[in-house]
Amino acid sequence: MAMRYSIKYVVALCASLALPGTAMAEFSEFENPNIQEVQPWDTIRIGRVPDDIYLRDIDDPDDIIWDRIPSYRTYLSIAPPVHPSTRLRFNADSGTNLYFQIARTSDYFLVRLRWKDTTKNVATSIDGFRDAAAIQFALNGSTDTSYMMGSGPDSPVNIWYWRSDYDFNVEDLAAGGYGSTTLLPDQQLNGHAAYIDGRASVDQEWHLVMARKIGSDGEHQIDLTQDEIPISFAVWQGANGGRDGNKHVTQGWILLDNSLEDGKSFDDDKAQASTQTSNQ
Amino acid sequence: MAVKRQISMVLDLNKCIGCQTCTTACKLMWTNRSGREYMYWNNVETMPGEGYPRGYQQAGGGFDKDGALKLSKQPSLEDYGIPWEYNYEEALMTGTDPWLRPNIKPTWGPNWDEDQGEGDYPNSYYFYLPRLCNHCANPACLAACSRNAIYKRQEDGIVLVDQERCRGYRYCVNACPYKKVYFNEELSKSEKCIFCYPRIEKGLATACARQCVGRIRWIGYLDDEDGPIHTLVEKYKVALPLHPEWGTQPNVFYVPPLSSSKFGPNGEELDEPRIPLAYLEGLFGERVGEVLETIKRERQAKNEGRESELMDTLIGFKHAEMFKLS
Repeated sequence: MAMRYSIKYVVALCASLALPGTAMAEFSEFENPNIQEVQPWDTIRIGRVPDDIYLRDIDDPDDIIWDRIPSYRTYLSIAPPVHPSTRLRFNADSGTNLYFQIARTSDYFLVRLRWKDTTKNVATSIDGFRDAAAIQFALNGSTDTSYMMGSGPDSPVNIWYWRSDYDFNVEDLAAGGYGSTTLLPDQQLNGHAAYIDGRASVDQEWHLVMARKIGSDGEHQIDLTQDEIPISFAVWQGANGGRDGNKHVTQGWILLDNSLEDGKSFDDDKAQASTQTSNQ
Repeated sequence: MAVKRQISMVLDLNKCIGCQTCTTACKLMWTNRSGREYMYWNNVETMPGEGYPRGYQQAGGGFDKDGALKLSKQPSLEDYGIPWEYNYEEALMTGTDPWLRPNIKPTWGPNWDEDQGEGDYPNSYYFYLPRLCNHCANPACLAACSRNAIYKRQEDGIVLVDQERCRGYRYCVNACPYKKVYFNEELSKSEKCIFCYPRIEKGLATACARQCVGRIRWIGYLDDEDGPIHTLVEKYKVALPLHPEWGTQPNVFYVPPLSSSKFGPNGEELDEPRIPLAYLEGLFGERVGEVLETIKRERQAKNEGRESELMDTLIGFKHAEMFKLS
């Protein structure tokens, strides 16, 4: 009996050493068979919300529809510093996991993000920085465009940047290289976030939905009707002074298969998405 | 950073009486409201003292010997001083509050340590140090901005924050060793002294200089050999930058303060200035002693009825001669 307890203890100790901090916190998510690991350069299909499902708010971060959309996990690592100011603050930490779901209705393109954050930072003040997250799209649909803020003015990226300090809080941006991020004159993104203040710190996380009408793209705004859309993600931790290049990012493009297959049902789509990830 | 011309300011610390008229002129002109309440683009601090923001001289920033940016402590709002308002309406108008009082309990603010200084009686000492953006030739704020939102104007070398480009990263606030870039919480952008460029463009002196009752400030172009800046900085070499070791090459210069003699234990005057030379050298560099000797020599000349161009310049008889903006 004593022997069995001590073996259990050793196993538990090994497990805790192998999966410290957030990794331990996300252990249950690794076990979740409905969440698939996605690497940069993998292709995933966009989930579809059938027209007969009514969404009260297009950007409700906890709408029950999200329980029926395939969920993916991807690893965000610290962005390499490209400016002396980011280099001075570079902290090669272990990165973080981002959970994402992507869906479209007939009218809207929706992205839902979830990530663990034990510190809720919703103010941009003299004494602190805000939490933030962003989705980046290669504007011409080309994976030749650098996933690090685009490749100059001729190969720009479109960025949807959510900031936790405003009510109307998703900025539509474009960039063509480091330091060139620019607010676009035409702002028509929807976005809403909820901070989940769980009982234990492992449950504390941001839920965020960003949405835009399909077919409403102007200059430097992603065309959401093209068949393949390269995207990547970024998360800023306000508690760590996150801003600018002090962020965690996808180190490459994730490819969205946006092709329409008429006649397929929502559930068919879901089943297909849950079995399809390349490079696995 | 080469510019076509560099506008510059000299301040004579021997003449500053710490009246804060410059501070008020600047505040009323530029930083009265809208997230700027805590900001003093121009301030006057008592030296030795904590300064504004508190402890900025020990915070870091600027450049190291190899010209690389140095990280600094980021000042907190408490270090600047949390701005407060008074209940004028309740105390003075409606009478619903018997006391006129601030809406917060003040614990620190600019000039919290005003007139404290250092030393024990009868050898205690202090002097005033007015500070504004130095519009540096090698601005750390500009080097630190990852978005090129900070620029130095070619025509006069004034350093400005482009409010369109700024996204509030605050690298500049951190990098400026003088802590003369401020973050506006309401606008999420950084702001700083603009050397009153709308006034400069009309040939007028900055508000802080024009309002100065002690007439301690001169404005002009560094390369103008007929102007007061050239006379004080280049010809007589009596104006020195604050903390040149921080590597930003300031374009605001100070005439260091002379002080009366120290007293010995029996009340005798010692041949030693009240403000220690080493302290002044720590602020303005190694040339302080030489500068103080020059000023003493020229004062003596004026005392004896001889000509002194330097003293005539430092007296500042006419504003037209103190501000040469063409």
